[in-house]
Amino acid sequence: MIRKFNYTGRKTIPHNRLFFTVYADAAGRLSFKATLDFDTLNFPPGAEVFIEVYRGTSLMRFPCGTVEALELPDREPLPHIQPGGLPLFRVKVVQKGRIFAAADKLIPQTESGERGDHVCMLPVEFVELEQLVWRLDFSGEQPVLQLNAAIAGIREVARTTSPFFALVYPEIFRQILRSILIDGNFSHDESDAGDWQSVWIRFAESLPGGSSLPTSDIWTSVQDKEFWIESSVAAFCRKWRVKERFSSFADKESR
Amino acid sequence: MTTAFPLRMLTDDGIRAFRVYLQGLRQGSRMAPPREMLLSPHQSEEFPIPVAVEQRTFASRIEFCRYMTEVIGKIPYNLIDGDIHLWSWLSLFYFDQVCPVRTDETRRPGMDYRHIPFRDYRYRHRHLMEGAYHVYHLYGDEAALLLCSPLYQENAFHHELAGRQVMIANPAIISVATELYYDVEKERPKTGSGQWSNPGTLRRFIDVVNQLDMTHDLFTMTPRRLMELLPPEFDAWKQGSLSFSVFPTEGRR
Repeated sequence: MIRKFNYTGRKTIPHNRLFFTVYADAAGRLSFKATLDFDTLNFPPGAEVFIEVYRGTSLMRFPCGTVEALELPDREPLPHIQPGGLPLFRVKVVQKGRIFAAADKLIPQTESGERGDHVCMLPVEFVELEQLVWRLDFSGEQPVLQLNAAIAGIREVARTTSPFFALVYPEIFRQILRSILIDGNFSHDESDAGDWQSVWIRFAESLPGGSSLPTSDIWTSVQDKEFWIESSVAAFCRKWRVKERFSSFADKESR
Repeated sequence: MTTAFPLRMLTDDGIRAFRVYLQGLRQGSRMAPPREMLLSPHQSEEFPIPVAVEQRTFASRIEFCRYMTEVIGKIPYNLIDGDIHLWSWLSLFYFDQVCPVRTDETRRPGMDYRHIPFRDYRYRHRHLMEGAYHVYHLYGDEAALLLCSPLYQENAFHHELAGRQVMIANPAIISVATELYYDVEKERPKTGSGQWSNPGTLRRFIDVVNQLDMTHDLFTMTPRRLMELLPPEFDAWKQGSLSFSVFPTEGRR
């Protein structure tokens, strides 16, 4: 059942036509490269194309020529984007001042040799958190894992140690699914496949032993959603053998 | 005669002590600001570029921004943008203006983010000094609507517009808001323009612009065109405006 209507008349650009790679130099300065493919979408050839890059309240905008004559950024610097994490991207196709087609909340790849279909699902920021070690920040365009910058070695601990993984990541997964399904009332019918919510749901569905998200007419209560979320978290823990990871750490500690 | 001080930055220790002081104020303490930290080698350190800053009194946030532009305007913006240590030091340096003593001799500092910048973008613009300077860096004196309040006060226009990426990054939107709501003669927002209940006021402006943003590319729109698209409820605020000369008509990068 579709509960939203598109009154704007503007078209959606499929996210799989739009690719962005973000580069960071040794000093942390960001730049990006864009690849856009409008073939067979039947957009007006003379319509102007703009890319907007944003993070927090910072935004940079890049005119990219027209649909028939694209001039795409290649390693274009992003000096005015707030530091601390990956920016998101927006593409607008504009005809006579009106938005003919658009795509938003596009997640870039990083240059670290990731596959073309590999997206950063959970950006990490290092911020002041007083006595908190970590938290999930849902205030932006996608969830961000914030780690306490004042803890020496937190980057390595979060990336490589079993106890951190075992204790923190299942809870991150749970909080994100709750945010999507209970706070956000997500359903596949109304979401773009490239939205961060869809990416996380597909991830949950793909876990061994996980199940497809029931269609919205089958959900009857919050309890149903909670059951699916807990099943997904259990599948996550099975896949990464979370108990064994923690047990081996606990074993070493107890000796 | 005013005395110039070398610009410094609070260290992590200094920021922790500043937080403790702010917490004390919230609990009713009447202690004077810990100004010794401003020069303490343990709680503050020199800014890498030698700059002198004076103790002055500012009538408004925009006046503060004008002065800071004289002081740090030539420093590359990325060296000061988001620098928690620098802006915390400045808050302490001008503490009597960002958190003045009240008639009952207490101070009301509000949340920490008003004095110590937070990296979280929801609160980043709320720092009384950095938030103002960032807007001034973008728009200069054309940001008067957002920056005309006293240094200790963030007005509704700054609060609502500076925290919204679509609004603060778009010169046409800031220009139209200024034309509609800023009283140039009195150097303050027009009476009633920030009230929620009146037609065509700030909240409705935000709603309508957000709606237009769904269908129009507002970055390529001139302020005049944007003004024309506003519904009749804004007509009362338009009187005497439509004299756009302040911003370029093209989107900015």
